[in-house]
Amino acid sequence: MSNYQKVYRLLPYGRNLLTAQATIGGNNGEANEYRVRLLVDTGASYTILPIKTLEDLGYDSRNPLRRQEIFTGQGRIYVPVINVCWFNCVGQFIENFDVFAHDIPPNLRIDGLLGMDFLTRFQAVISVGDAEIRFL
Amino acid sequence: MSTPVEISPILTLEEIIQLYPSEWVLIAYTELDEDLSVIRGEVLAHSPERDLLYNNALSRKGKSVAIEYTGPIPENLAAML
Repeated sequence: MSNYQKVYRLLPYGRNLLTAQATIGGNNGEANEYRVRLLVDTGASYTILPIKTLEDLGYDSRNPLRRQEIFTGQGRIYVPVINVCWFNCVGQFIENFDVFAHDIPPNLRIDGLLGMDFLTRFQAVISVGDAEIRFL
Repeated sequence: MSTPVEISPILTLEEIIQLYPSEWVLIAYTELDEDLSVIRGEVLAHSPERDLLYNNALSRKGKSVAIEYTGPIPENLAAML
């Protein structure tokens, strides 16, 4: 794997799941920065973060950039899209990143999803055997 | 209802887990490791219910925070979202 210049560890979680942790910058909200735990999900088109976390950072989920139609296992929903001032995960730092404000079931004890929008942006290669994510 | 923490020393995550077992804790962290895991920080609130942490937490203005569950994660935890 010498062609890959950056290799980051993913964190095994539960049964056959991998997670990564991210930090998100605030927008003059109650908190300045949040650290969240995200499920690495190649079945998710977009990165999803909890509504209250985004609101605590100062983002207004009631006045989003837009609402995006999303098909889930439970049916069709419309999710607010929020532009966060910065997003940092597995060594990749993005300014002005659009995320989706939606709560996943709390029993999972996961904050949200790291979706394909992030993974394709950096042409990530995931090794599930090694629990690693690699970038050129 | 979440419980705000009156005395809030800087603790390691291991110390926080021992103090507040099987709860959700809101931590103003002072140090993360390279995986962005909390190494140490100040506990602002703790509760059996995650959503309640946002309500009664001490001021987190200007702080960097994380929410952690201090109980074990079941090995057979499965998801299909």
